[in-house]
Amino acid sequence: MGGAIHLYALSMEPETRAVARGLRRRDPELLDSLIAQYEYRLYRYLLYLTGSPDMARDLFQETWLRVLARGHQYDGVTRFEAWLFSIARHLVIDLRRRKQMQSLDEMLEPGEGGRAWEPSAPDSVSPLTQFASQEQSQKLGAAIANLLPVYREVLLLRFQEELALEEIADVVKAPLSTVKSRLYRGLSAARELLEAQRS
Amino acid sequence: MKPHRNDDLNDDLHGRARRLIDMERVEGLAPADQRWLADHLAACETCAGRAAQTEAALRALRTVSVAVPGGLAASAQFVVRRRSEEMRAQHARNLALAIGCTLSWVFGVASAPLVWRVCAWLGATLDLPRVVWMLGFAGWWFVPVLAMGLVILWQRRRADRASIRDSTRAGWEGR
Repeated sequence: MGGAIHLYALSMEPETRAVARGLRRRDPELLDSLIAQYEYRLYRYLLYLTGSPDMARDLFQETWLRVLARGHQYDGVTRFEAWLFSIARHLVIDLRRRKQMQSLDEMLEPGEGGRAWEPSAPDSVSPLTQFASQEQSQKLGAAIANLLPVYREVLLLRFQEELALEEIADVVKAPLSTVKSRLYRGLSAARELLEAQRS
Repeated sequence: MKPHRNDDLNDDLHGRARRLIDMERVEGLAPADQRWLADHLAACETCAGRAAQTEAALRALRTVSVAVPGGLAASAQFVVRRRSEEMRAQHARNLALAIGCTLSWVFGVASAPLVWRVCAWLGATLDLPRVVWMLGFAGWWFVPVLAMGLVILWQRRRADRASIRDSTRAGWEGR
């Protein structure tokens, strides 16, 4: 598996190196395109971490300012999204510390301290499908919002962002065994929540 | 005793199947485990149901979408561009300052023997104690450096204040 990740990293290298060079130069065109490209994914990650749309929006901007200031630290070898998410995560933790909280486990419950997270419908073809999808998506979103943020985070990184386990460990700055254990627990909790909702 | 042993064995098999169902999604399975799981799922309805539940949970996770606030990227692009310009201007100022410091240092070193003689001559002419005119000489060396240091500190503090003010304003404008 490690070999496969390395091969994948090698195939990604030219693109990531170009990003690294652009970030070192603080290339405004590159930054504009990165912001547009990662708008949805970064916002979704921040939303999963904080559970608050207002906080996620503020941190989105802060994350890009941090990318601008620390762009020279990106090595161009790892995937850019993994580096971006680790910056975003640091900002969330900093914010929490400023609010007298020590870790992500102590995140606010959804709905507290701002508007609650309301998932939207995925792109659909007809209003009927859209309505059904919206309803289903809202239910699913409500179930996922009930998961602990540490589980939400690793589930997102593994199954939506499709990061490798090692990359997740790098983002969350935790040992691989911790990441795996969070994934197993999160998966189990997600399964139970969705089943409970269905029944 | 025999039925108990069979029950334990079955529990072990189902337990292993459950572990492998999750492991397959989280970290992948070795081919032998994959084959064993496929055979077990074909024969066991309960475990197959659990595998289906797990798959459904993951499908659900992947299909959940979030609504991105309008203009999120545009406002971030604007703020980042502005900060980038500020940083470029700051860099140019720092460069000018560094060049100034270097020139001042070179000039200071080159003129040190002359200044020493001037200070000594002044001390002798004005009948000053030796320590006073030596302090004057040290001042000639350190005052410009101290002044430059103060200018740099003042500029940094001003830039920090401006950045806090800007991000607060941008936050409010975003709302």
